[in-house]
Amino acid sequence: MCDAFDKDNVAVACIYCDFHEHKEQSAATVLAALLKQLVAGVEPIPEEIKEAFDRAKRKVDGRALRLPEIYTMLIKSISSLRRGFICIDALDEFPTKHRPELWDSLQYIVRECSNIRLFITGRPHIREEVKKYFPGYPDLSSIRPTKEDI
Amino acid sequence: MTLFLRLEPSEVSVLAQCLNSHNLFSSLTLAQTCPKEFPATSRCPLFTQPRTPPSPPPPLTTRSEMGSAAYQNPAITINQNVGNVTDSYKNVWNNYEISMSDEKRQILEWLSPMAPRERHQAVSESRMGGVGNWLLGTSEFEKWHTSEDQAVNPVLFCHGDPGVGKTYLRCVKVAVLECQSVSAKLTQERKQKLSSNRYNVRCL
Repeated sequence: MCDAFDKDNVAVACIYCDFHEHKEQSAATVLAALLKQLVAGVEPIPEEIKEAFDRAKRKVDGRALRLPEIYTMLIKSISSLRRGFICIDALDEFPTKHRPELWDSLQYIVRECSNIRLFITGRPHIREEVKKYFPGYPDLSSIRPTKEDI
Repeated sequence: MTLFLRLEPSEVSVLAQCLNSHNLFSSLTLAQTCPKEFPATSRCPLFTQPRTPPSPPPPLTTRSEMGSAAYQNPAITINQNVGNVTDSYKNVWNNYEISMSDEKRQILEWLSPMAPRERHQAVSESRMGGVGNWLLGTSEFEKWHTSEDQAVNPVLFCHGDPGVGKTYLRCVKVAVLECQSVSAKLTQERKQKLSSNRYNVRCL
């Protein structure tokens, strides 16, 4: 996962999915991580996020944001950008049981934000899922890395 | 009070964390350079024992004593009496400035404890030369990352079996995007840095 932001108002947010991190990974944690990266370069930090943080701080358990709240903040943060890039690596390593929720979330973000670009990598078997949620995506199946690439 | 410390680039973030966790200073400013004649004995003991306060304290000197000597090495300047709590540092990896308040840092940590940067850096640097170039040359990729036309499909999917370097591919992609968005802001000097050493790995 990495991030980049510049004064040109372009942000890049990335997530690496990993079999070994199943305990941590859910749609909410992925989107929260994206949100974190997207707002890291924004000054000042959006007021809604600051307020939510202050509210959480006042509570003993200081709960994390819930998915609907993350949606709202994510969409708002992306809309303040000129362009936003989201990269999700090895999506097949994201826990299967949470995957529909993540797909729905990504679909929602792409639909709501016309300035977003989404790049996904994964093992071949996940292709059908991509097709299901994003019909008509550019088919890179004919393009394979050469031996030198491996 | 101003304190100069001579640090390796990799030590800078460690020191920043130490200072934050101990609330030792109200303001932390990092500069990339320090005077040539800066004494080698001034290494901060925080680095050898990150969880213990410095003892004995590192040698102190005032900014004015440093004068306008030629700066060459990474150094850190700590101002103790500053009203606003700020923490700005030179981000060596990104090669451009990031300033962030303590509060913002806390908010970001609260949003997500995931720390992506280190992983990306590790992957980028371990990437073998040439991996992923094939994808960068495709028109699909070109369109995806340069066109702002809403008719362009916003989703790009690249599949492969484990071992074909898909992790690396994505890193190259990100590197290209970073270069695209950041390069316009870079000075000529920074561009030269980008074209040399490890930076060229990230900006193919």
